[in-house]
Amino acid sequence: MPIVAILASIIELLPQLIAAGAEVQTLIGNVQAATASGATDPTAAEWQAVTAELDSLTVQLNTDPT
Amino acid sequence: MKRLPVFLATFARWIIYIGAFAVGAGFFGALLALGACSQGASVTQAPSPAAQVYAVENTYAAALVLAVQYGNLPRCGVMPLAPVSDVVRPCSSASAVETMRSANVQARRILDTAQAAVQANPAGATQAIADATQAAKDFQTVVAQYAGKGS
Repeated sequence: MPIVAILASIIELLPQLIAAGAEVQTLIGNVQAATASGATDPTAAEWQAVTAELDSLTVQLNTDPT
Repeated sequence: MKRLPVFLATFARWIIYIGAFAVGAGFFGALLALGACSQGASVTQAPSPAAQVYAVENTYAAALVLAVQYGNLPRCGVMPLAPVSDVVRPCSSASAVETMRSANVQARRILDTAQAAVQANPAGATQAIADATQAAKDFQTVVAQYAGKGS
């Protein structure tokens, strides 16, 4: 029975890993776009988006798992 | 006939090992991607000060995603399955999560300062950009210490 529970816990983690991977890919895309844009400054909307992302992640980091 | 349960137990054990390896490999792969990303950002033509800070913030956010992912794992030592070792089932260290939280507070302060600096006076923000870049690297180092291990 414990083995089944362990397997279930690993399977539970997979969607989280996939979601995190997709989020990281998006952020890396932003970095590449910012680098490729050269002298172009980020727009106000882009600043707001990255700040909101950091705020949201900070809240998540500061929240203990249930 | 007695060999069947032994075979099943061995098979299940290998599945667990493979699963644990996949979780660890997922973290490790993401960390490698982050490293490649930050290196790539430094060798291309010089972006504007604002674009530099924006890139640093996105790189930092990617590291923060991994920190959150690690923090979302069950805490080591408080899991319901007592006989199962923490090595088999990925878990997060409470002290490691606290370290990440403290590092995040510190880094966010520096990043916010850099963002304000490039928006107010881009030409005079060189030091703030350097500080932000270093803060993001330091945070990546903290996350890499723990997140890749899964315990």
